[in-house]
Formats: sequence, C-alpha cells, structure tokens
Amino acid sequence: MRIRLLVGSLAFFLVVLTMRSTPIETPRIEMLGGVIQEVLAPLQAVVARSVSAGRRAGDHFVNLAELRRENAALEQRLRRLELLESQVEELRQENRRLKELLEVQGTGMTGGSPGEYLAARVTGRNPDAWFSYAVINRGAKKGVTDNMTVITPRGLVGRVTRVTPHSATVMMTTDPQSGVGALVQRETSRAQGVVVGMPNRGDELRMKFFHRDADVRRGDRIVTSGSGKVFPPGIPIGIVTEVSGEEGGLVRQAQVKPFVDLNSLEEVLVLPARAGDANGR
Amino acid sequence: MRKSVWVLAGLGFASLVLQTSLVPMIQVMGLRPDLILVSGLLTGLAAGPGAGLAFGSIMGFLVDLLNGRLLGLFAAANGAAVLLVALVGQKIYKENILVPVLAGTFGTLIHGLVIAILLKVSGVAPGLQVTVFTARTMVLEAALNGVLTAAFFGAANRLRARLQAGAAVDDARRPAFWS
Repeated sequence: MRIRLLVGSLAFFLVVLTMRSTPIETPRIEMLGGVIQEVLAPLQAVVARSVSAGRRAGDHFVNLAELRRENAALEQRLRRLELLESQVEELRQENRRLKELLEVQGTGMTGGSPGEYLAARVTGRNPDAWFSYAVINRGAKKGVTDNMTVITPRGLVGRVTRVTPHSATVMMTTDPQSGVGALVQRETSRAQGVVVGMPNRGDELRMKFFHRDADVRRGDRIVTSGSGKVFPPGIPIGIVTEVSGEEGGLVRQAQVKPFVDLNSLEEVLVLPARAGDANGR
Repeated sequence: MRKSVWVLAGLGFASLVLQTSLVPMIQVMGLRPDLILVSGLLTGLAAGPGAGLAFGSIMGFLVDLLNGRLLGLFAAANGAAVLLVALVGQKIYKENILVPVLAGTFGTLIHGLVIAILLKVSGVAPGLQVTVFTARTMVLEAALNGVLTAAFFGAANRLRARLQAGAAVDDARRPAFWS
C-alpha cells in the first residue's frame, strides 16, 4: 500500500514537472488530443442531440399532463399529438436557426461571399469552467482550418484552434486565452482595444482599451476591429455593461456582455480564414 | 486485465463523454458539476489513495490533452484533490453521510485552488483575478460536487464490494486491486 502510494506520488510530481517543461504545441501531444477528440465527438453528438430533443419534448409533456387532468378522455390522442408537435417544433426551430444562418450571409457582417460559409452543429464543450471552447461537427474534411472565424447570427463566437478530420475546436471569446481586436461602434468614439475572456467568470468579457482616455459608455456596442488579422471587422461582440477606471486614469477597462449566449449554442457558421492570416493570433 | 481496471476505464470514459456534452447543456446560472472530479474522488474514497491518485491523474491528463493548453494542469489538480481527500478519508468513519459531502466539497475547492495557482504561475491566464464572483462560483460548485459525491458514494462502495468478492473468487492468489 505504501509503495503504491509512493509510486503514485512520484508520478504526480513527474506530471507537474512535465507540465513546466513540455510545450502543449508539441505535434505528438496535439495529435493525442486530436485523437481523443475524434473518439469523443460522435458520442458527444448523440448526447447533444438527445438532450436537445428531450428538453423540448419535456416541455410538451408538462403541458400534456395539464391537459390530461382537464380531459381524461382525450389523453391518448393528445399524447400522440403532443409528440408530433414536439417533433414539428424541433424542426421549426431548427429551420428558423438555419434560415438565420443563411440570412447572415447577406448582411455584410461576414465580409465574404455566399457559399464560402460552413454551417456546423455544436456537439461538445469544455469539461471544466476554467477554459471556454466548443467542439463542432465539421473538420478538415469539410475545409475547416485553424483560425477560421466562427459566428452566429447574433455575433462572434470565437475562432478555430484545433482541427481533426471530422471535428474542430472553437476557442470562444470568453476563454482566458482569447484576445479579439475590437472597437466601440459609436461614431463619436471608435475607441479601440482588446476584448479578453475571464477565467471562471462564465458569460463575461473584459475590454482593455489602448488609450487611457478612451471614450466608452455603458450601453456601447462593441464590434471586431479587424486589427488582429484573424477576425473580419464589424462582427458584433457584445454590449458594455460597466466601465471601470476613470477617464484619463491609468487603466481604462469595460465589462462586456456577449451578444451570443455561449452557453446554449447549437448551430454556428464558420467563416473562411482571412487571406494571408493562416496562423496569426 | 483485472475487472476493476475495466470498470474504472468505463467510469472514466463515461464521465468524460457526459462532462463534455450533457453537463454543459444542463448547467444552471453558469454552475456545473464536475463528473470527472467526482468520479476521481469516489474512487479515492472507495478504493484508497493509490487507485484514486492514478485514476484522478489519468483523467486529468486526458482533460489536459482535450483542452490543449497547459499539459499537466488538470492532472496535477485532480491528483492533488483526490490524494488529499483519500488520505484524510482513510482515517475517518466513512459511513457518515457528511464524509462524502465534505470530501466532494473540499476536494473541489482544493482542485480549484491548484488550478488557480498553476494558471497564475504558468502565465496561461495572466488576467486571472480571484474575485468575489470567482470565489462564489467555486464554493457553489464545490457544494454541488459534494452533493453528487454523497449521492453516488453508496453505489461506489457496493461496486467495490462486488469487485472485491469477484476478484477473491476468480483469483485468490493475486493481491486485490482495491485496497
């Protein structure tokens, strides 16, 4: 028992030492991560679809129980109708979301030409609360590459950071390692900065301004500036909820609430990489 | 290979799949249980520090590979949390319902603390600030994991007993994996 504990403790400290000395970008380690993701992706997709369908069906069953009390004679028929309605509702909502994805191509928000965008379904998420990423069901075989921008009709989701043949990882704007060049959309301001994620802060972003006297107010819309050379300009990011640091003070920051509800993502749109920016951050 | 190893592998795989698919979809107000950590803590409590440390560290390492950030971050945090909880758990009367609740709660807090320190030290998350919000999230998630650990504690002990009995019948000469 003691020997086993000693061996376990040694292994533990070896892991810690390895962590300090091994860069995660090592191709073999990256490949291992990709393999695990490929194995998990189909199972994640099954669970994601089941939960999505079950959640909506559950709502309908609650309604059905109410009707059952009111009219017992119609119970069986109502159950069948509700199930059918649940399926129709599922299809209707999916249809609406896909239509929105298609419509976004005509808004000029994405800066590319129609047909270059790829619709994808979110199948998995980060297992912990410290990082923030999503796994989508489109990968290298569908033309997805590193640093492609990912959006929804409401705004920016993030960028692709890892690609396997059938799936891809999207680092979301709320990830602590995410940095997006951004600006205040208000014409009288146009103050620029970087929007960064906050570890373990959930649905919250922070914008750090380049100038300490940046003109920013609560309610200002924040959009991508295009200066980081990864994200196209003009994609909505979020709205300012709080400004910290006095104007002209040492640091000027703002808390930003993302337009996209990153906790309930289902479908996203992958935009083509910007020319000449294949590996830039 | 011993049956208990397969059981642990299955438990680990299932918790990984559910943690990356089901759990994020059912989170309430940004709070989500950590099935991977809970399964590690249960293994540590039921099977002892050695098995718990090995299981927790391996599962953490898989999370590290999936995250693709700081290799060893979750391996170290899971390993430390499970080891400490299992070492303390060995010395106390485990039949009390408070034991798994406290094990899950404090295990999660240790886990969060180790991650916060390593993220800060490594420079991966330079903007990390342990604020009231972060602390509140960590405490609530720790309580959630404590409840989950208690809910599955009985099942983990029954499984251990069955595996021990099976191993004794199948192979009386070899030492039991569960200690």
